[in-house]
Amino acid sequence: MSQRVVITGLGVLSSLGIGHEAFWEGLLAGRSGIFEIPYFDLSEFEIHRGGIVRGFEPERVLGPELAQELGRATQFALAATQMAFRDAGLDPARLNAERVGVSLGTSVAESMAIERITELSLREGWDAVPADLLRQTPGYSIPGRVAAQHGFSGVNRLLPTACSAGNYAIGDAFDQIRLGRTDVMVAGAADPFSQIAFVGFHKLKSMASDVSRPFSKDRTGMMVAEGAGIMILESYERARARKAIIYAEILGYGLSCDAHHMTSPHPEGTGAFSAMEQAVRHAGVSAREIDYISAHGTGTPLNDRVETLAIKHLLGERAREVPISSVKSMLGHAMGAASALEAIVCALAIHTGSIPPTANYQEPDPQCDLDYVPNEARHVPLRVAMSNSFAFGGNNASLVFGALERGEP
Amino acid sequence: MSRLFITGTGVVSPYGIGTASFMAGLLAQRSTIQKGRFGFPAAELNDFDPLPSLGAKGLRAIDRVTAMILVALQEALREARLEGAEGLGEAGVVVGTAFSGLDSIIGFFTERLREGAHFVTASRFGNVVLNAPASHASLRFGMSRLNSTVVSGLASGLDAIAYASDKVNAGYSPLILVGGADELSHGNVALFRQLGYLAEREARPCDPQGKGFNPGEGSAFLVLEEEGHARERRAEILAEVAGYGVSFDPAPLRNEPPTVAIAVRTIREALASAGLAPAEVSTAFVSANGMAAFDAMEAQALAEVFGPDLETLRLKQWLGETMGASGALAAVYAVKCLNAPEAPRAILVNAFSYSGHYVSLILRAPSKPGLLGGE
Repeated sequence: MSQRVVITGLGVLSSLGIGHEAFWEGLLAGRSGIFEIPYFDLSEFEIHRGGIVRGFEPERVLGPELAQELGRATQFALAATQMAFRDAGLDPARLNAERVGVSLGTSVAESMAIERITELSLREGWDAVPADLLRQTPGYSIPGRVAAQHGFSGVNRLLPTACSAGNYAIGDAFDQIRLGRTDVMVAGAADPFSQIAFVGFHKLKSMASDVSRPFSKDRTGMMVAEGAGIMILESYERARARKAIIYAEILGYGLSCDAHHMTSPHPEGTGAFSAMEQAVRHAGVSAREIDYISAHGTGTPLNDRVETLAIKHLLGERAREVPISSVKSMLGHAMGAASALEAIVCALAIHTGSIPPTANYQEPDPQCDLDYVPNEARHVPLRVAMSNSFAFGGNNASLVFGALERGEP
Repeated sequence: MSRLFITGTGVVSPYGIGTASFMAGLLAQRSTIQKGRFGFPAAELNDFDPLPSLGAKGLRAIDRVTAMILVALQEALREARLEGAEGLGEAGVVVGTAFSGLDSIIGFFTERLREGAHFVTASRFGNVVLNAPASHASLRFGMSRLNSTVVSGLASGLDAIAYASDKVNAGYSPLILVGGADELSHGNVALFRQLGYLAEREARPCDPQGKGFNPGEGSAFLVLEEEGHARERRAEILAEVAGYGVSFDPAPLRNEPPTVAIAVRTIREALASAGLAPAEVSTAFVSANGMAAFDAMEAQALAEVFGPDLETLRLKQWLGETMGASGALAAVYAVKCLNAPEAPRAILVNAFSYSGHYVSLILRAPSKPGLLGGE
């Protein structure tokens, strides 16, 4: 029991590109993944842009028949899983299917399908909504379809914990391998561009008017985005035996709930702190060892202030020495997928010794006075990294990653 | 690994609010299936009113399925003598649900289409995420540890118990409120209709001629407590989570008949983790709901593992297919049955979903007080 769990494959669909290579190159260059939203009529809105996945051809990747059958979240999940297996050098058909599981997160699941169904049911009544469209909607089919494509029969579940869903899913996948239930886990999250989320955040005035500037004094909010991030997890012994490239080790995670408000974080950041503190404790490291934090960093005035408070609480006097960045400044906020993409950021940061910047940073905020890696990537060896995600409902999840050889703290 | 105990239960079922009406109804084998608000036979919550249980405060902010969850949760806390207790801050919440507040999502977008994006109700937006009910539960009862929503088709409620047990074992919380809930909504009714899952009359679980299920709604929660925590506060131990198996059958999504071997593996995994031989389990609450192919698959798997002598109970003939609630409702019934005179020592509960999600859970009767360590 209690196997070490490592990351050996990455699959990415992001507004900065498809595949982890394009994703990482874009992030380190500080590029923007924000484009005109192509999916619906924007005439009611003063904001027309978001993080859009471009150049994704589901027909080519999944075949025309399957692509036709599936909603965009499921297409994302399947495509990113295929990519992650290829990256891991694993042929899913040759794995022991009983010992492979799938644990995925999402925020609104097949939001686009639900939007179309709502529209059709209003216009023509429920009887007019076609079966093919209805069949796309249940969230449980997202991990189900991934498993069905490859015949995997291990544990399979969707953990839809809004914007922290990716971290919840990766945490559970980590447990499944540690407990010896599975050899390999497909873990991560997928979210298509959600008009429902766009309308909601618009109403809450949480969206940035031009670009997202996390931690900058003039920040006004976030940009809604879409994407998927999938990791292949396996035990260290297994990965070593097959001489796999290991990006990083997952050391542990922490989960908490603010129990404060549905759409606002606790003003003192107690829930955020609790998730980070538990993550460090479960990981068996000390807060002193953390070399990098991938922030939730939505770019809303409140989140960034509260997250800064919670990080200071965790790191104490060292807080100003630890680089912290928000890739949402470039990718936009891909809802549940955001946390999975940011977990991949931590794995790649450890693997490459590079830290992506917080882009669009302009002006220091006295309430956000830490090192946010403004505008320029940094190159420095990392041993321990943490990824934060805080969601609607006050659901917080933090993951801790480590380099394989960490030496003495 | 520490032992995991059940120290409280609460339900909202088609029989009404609370375990008393639930037990009375099931013991009398009274069917709750009748033609309901969607025009087909279903086990609905008629006149469900959360007001007497929850009070008026905060009620407008939550949707119906959330109210069902909060009421069942409150009942479970009460039975565990934890209502209003200090220390709920270290408790977690795990909600299993197949559809969560699907009608809240559709409702929010309906408002957007009808009234325009500027005129949606901001407070309704918080309910469009599938974790909203679980978050409302933490909010209401001040539970600040993990807050998870588990979606595994009709097995969601039982899978939530497996998930929560893993988390207690991994040290995330010594006390988790775990269960399942689902309601009939426009979205899932349309889905079931189009897929041809609905029985036109009373469904016949385990009948080879079965032509679908009667959908139902409900909510059931259990207080799952780590041994040391339960002992320390001198909780009454109602049952023990002995073991569970969780797997996935890819066949249904590939339009192939369900796989008996995967169901067999799920049940054997539950037995192995409970450290029990098949002969030590005499009773099973089966998943059968009237979908003939799945019912036959389950019966075959049970026969393969247990032989012909297993006593089986088909709860869904009276309760309907309550989706994400079904496994949790069956678990609550099992807990109650294990405390009855001449009860079996252990009960197997199955949830084998058309979505391919298969979960088996074994609950064991509480040991005699002497065996529990010097009470």
